[in-house]
Amino acid sequence: MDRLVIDHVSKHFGKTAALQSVSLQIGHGLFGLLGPNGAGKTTFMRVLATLLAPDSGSMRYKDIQWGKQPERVRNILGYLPQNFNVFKNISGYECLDYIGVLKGLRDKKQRRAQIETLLERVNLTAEAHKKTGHYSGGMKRRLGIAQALLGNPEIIIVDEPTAGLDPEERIRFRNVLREVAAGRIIVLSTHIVEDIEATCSSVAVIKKGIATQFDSLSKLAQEAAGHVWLWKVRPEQAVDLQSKVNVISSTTTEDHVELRVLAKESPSREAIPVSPTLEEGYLIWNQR
Amino acid sequence: MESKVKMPSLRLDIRNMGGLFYLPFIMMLISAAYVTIHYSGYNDNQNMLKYIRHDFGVLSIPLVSIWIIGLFQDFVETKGKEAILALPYSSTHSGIMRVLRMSLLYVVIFFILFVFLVIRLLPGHQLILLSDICLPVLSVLYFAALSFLLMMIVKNSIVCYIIIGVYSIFLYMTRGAFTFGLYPFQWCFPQPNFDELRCTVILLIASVIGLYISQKIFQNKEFLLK
Amino acid sequence: MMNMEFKQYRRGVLIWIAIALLTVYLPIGYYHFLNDLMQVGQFLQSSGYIGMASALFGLFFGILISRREQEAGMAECLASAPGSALRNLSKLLAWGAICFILMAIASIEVMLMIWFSGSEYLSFAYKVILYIFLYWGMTLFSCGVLGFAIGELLGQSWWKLPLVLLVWFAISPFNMLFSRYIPVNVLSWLNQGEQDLGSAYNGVEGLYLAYSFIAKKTAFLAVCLTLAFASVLIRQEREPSLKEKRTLAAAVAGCLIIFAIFVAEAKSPLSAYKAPLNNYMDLYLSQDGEYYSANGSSKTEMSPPAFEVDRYDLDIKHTLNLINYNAQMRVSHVAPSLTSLRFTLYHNLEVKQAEVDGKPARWKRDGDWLYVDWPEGKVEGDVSFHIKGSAGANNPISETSFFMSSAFPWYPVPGTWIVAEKFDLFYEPQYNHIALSKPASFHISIHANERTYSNLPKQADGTFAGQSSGATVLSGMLMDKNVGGYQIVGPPDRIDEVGSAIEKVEQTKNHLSSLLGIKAPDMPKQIMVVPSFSFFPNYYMQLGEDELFVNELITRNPYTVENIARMESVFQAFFWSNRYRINDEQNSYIFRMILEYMESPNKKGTTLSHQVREIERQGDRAPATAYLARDILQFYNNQGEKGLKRLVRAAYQLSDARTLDFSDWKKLMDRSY
Repeated sequence: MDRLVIDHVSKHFGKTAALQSVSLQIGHGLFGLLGPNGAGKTTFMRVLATLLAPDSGSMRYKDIQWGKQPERVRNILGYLPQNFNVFKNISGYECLDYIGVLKGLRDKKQRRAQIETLLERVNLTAEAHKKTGHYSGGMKRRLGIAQALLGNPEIIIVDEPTAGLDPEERIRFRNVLREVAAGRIIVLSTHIVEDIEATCSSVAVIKKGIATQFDSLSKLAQEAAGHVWLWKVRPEQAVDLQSKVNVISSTTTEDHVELRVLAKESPSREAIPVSPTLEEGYLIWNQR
Repeated sequence: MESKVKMPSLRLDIRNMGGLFYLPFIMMLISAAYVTIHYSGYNDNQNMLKYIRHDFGVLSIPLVSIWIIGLFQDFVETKGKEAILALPYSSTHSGIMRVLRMSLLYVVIFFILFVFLVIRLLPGHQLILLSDICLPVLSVLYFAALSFLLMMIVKNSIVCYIIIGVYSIFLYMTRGAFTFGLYPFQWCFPQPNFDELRCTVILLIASVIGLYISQKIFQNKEFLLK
Repeated sequence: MMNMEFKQYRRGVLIWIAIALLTVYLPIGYYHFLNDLMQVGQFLQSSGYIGMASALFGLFFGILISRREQEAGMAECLASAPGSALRNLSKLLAWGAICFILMAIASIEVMLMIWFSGSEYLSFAYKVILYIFLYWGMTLFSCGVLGFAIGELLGQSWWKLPLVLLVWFAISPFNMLFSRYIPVNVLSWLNQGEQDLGSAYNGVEGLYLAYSFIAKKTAFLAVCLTLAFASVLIRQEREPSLKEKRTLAAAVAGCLIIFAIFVAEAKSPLSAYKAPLNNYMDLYLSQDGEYYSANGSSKTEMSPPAFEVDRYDLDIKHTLNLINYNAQMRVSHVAPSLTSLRFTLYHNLEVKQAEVDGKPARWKRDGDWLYVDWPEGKVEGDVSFHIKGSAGANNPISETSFFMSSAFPWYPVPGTWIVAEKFDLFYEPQYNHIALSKPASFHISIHANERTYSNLPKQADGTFAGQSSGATVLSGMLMDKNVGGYQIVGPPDRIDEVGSAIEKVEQTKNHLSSLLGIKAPDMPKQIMVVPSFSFFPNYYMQLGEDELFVNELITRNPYTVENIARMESVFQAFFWSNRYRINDEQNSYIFRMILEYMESPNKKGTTLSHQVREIERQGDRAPATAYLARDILQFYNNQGEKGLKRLVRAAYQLSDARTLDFSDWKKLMDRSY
């Protein structure tokens, strides 16, 4: 299986190091890139999408070298940026047609066939000929993923795709990603852990330009092993405890509140250790 | 939030415009400087006023558009306009009153420079109410109203600049032909067939209508949101 | 990609506004001009503001084009596509196509209006269309490209607006306001519009489509493209690959080379003289005025020739405001003792080379006179000169027209003659009628971009040959037509008016003939409207050897063209300047003054009355002509019109023999008493 190999890639903006010697090996399927705001995710995605040239390091996939053959890279790439929008005065179909041409789909019939298939896949067939100015946020995102899939790219880069989407749209989006992941590499960058959890098989976390890869989600979750406690308290206690301990989440039942607390040691005799979730593993990793 | 926001302060408006605030001001200064240098020593008193009006006024009058367009960029053009439109501001104060305030400031600067030129180059000349005061003030107001209206309809500053720029050039080029008196360059580049009083009245009416329509559109936040 | 660009234009409002404005303005403007009886050329030239509007429109629109994807939030996504590198090129190409469409609409409109109004400019359709495309279209396109560069480089910065205004001002005719502070050459090159928006249209010179102007437009476009490619290189949404960088750098270099080539060609001879002079006429009058003031008419060596020229072979090239020609002459009847042949050749026509019988010969210039060594005893032979230069105010040569009169030594004329004299009465030098004493055979080839005409029979395009006492060549935006038995060459839409005015000239000529008591010269059958050679009303016409030249200035308005039939104008052309007469401008002035007084119903507004008022105004410092005018007025009051007519006739007949002075006039008046 061909892997996307990223080897000690760095990128600086002036004195600021946006990426510091990032090394990853990404195989087929959905790969998540998790990190807080300002960690370097978008910079990394742009480097991958050949919008920015790295200051050092290399990236390669099969026999394609990013630095030397950016045109070849673009031919196998689909990119959905964080801020994706389109001309308001064109329809979704026209937008895809235009991007299809830019992607080198010269044959009109083939292009049309692909566009129609993709529109169906992202459930935009009914609105295909409406002006995008009338599209909702979710529809624009779906259009975005459709354009990223144009040309049947081998690598798809998706940057914060579900930000601002309602739960239904988010689920639909994840389903689309899962459907198309077979046989290609999809790099999904997000700070929403749920998205990673729901779709990805492996993940990397990035912080201040430094990335750490985890072969499975459970490995990241295990970072928080022994640090997560379940503590049942009275409701009036819960309010007080919010400021004293690191409460990750709380579930309110009829007579008590269940707090999930992140701590090196047990915060109380009543607190019991539990298996960490991916989010908790990420939080612990991030705190280091 | 306890009370509605009244008119934003002038200082805030000026800061929001950024460098664009200084542009018409600088251009008026350059025009005035040019007129002063160029006509110093001219003996042609009969035509001096005509030269001053033309060389100073042709550029200075329409440039008020830059200020007015700059005033409303936040409301109609920027990506964050939704947040601004949701604020509890008074439409009247934030719309027409701001336009009138900026126009007044513009007119004051305009007249300071114009009076300086007259004193310097044509001492003894008495300013005539209609010709030297009403007409240029209303010409400025007309361009202000036009800019306000265009910004509300077009919602794009560059397009507004194009329309006002080309409109001004055509007005100047044809010297107001077929405008039936709606000629804001009557003060600086007069059409001999036009009566000044008539021009003044028409400009006043057009300005009032323009301001009224613009204000109505400005009050329609749904339209501005599109 | 182009498809998407066209969609954006179609679905935007601006292009439609531009089309609407054009569609509305052009007919209104044209109707306006027709009402004022101004013609197509003047209409186009006065619509120079359309060029300025195009520039402003283009600059701002270019910014819009460059920012379109960023404003829509689509830039990043498109930048990652393989074909993204071509997007900017497709934008520029689409913009070019839009400019073409707009200009095509404008051209069709203008041609339809020309056709509807029955204008003769229809036969110059290609020039009108080229004008529209060059002045409006190319400005629009270039400024769009420049606006694109500004938009790319400055992004969302507010500096875009002042920069656009500055650029617009710098490339407009208004930039001459700073001619005191910035070299005129630079300002003139930057100006992408008419040289002078307020100037009157010269029908003979026609629309200014000279090569230097085309080169200027091309150079400006090259600069704009350079900046556009450079801006893309500097500010792409993504970092360009090596191949893209190389391609863009090559494009920048290519455009710079084109700029360097064309900017050198863009230099018009007039651009250095832009302020305070506005056109070649002013330039030449100023040059000739200075020259003939300094080199007065006191030459005593002038003499008729001691040889004859039987044949002239002239091969003329017209470039910029110069002619460049080889003159081969067959000389005969040379006086045996002659060791040097003397010719008259206007001083600004420089001799580069001289040959006698194919061998280099020594030659010398002395102002308007040319001497070439001649072997003693030789009776006949061939003389040739290579000559280059301009022919002065009387025979103006511009970049788009030239005129050389049969009564002017623009080719070497045997003998030494006074070409022109400068008097205090006039700003303009007065040119003398100089022609060959005996007809010679002429063979002329002309290489010029415009149509050419001559008094000699046409042999082929640009080739004329025949027998005459002088050769006239004329070139410009002209056509010819037979009107009332006269073959008239002139600018389109003016020939008929000239034709009807000529009939009145004939009447005035006959009237003057009986007044002066001499046979009137025949009215030539060839009439040519020539580039303005004078700003004075008296010089609306000049008589050549076998043609009549009409000053283009007077034909600009159909009402004023009839003024060529006024007595002082006809007198000057047919009864005074039609022969070689020197040191006699004063008397020409006096005759014209009297004739004008006789003809005018408003006596107080005449030159004679004005001269008399000078005595009241200036007292002892009044010129002598003022006192003479007073005497003539008194004479008229005593003797009436008949007395004045007698005076004019007697004075004219006396002037045939010698130059009159004031005492002669006084004696004639006393005698009449």
